[in-house]
Amino acid sequence: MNPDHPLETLLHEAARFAPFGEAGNFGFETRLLAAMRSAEPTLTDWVSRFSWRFSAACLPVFIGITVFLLMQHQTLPEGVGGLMTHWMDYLPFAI
Amino acid sequence: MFFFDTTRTTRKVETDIPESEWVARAKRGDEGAFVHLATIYRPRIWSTASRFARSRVELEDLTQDLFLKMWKGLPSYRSEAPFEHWVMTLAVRGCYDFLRSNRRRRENETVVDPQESPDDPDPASERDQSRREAWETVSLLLDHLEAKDRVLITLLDLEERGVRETAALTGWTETNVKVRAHRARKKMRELFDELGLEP
Repeated sequence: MNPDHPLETLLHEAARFAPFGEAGNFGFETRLLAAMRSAEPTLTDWVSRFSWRFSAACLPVFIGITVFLLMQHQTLPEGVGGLMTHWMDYLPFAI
Repeated sequence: MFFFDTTRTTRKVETDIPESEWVARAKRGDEGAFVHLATIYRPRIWSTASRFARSRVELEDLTQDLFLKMWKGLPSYRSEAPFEHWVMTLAVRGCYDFLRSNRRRRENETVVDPQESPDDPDPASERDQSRREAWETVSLLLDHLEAKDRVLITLLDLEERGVRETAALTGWTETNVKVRAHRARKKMRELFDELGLEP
């Protein structure tokens, strides 16, 4: 800081000025309550808040599916055609 | 017997409730408890936010937005830190976000002369007038700073908070606060001289 520069005096003076006066209390509580009620969390807010927990719960499921697929693939015929033929057996209708 | 009006008794007891209890109630979703806390902290938040708003209407909106953020963020408040510190941290960071999100719009605006604004208090004395002029000049210089620097100068020089407190409120390191503030003041001094302003 350079205490001799006029900026320091300015800052000191400005610190003692309240640009918009004091906060008026008229209707403050009512307005805040109304805003709080209109800003109630929506379904999207809840989902986004808990999404990381869902991801943790999905991890074992994901691992299970991966293990299952790996075990299935051990007996698969080689090539993409063989893979397709294998997975078509799981469909509820014939192709 | 339950035929008597117990309102007076309840009110008297509620004034003795410690702040931690109000906070706990608000955390449980008690809107009235949160409004009670908001009423207590409003002057402090108003004072800080007034350094960033350009009109009284904008200041009212900013203050209300800050309280809404607090209401939504209240479940994340941990009681280890003082509630006041948590409130002021959220307020300062909210003001910083406000500055960043409105920067482009603010650059295109002309500075409102507070004397022309009917919402502003009349200068009661020569000293008030001098302080008002000082604020207008400082405000003009602050408009040329980055949002981060503006927040720092406001907290350090206008709110006269210490480096450690400023670092805690902003979440930046003390070294970062010192270095940035030094550069920001230098930039303000240069601009002051360049524009040929007078104190």
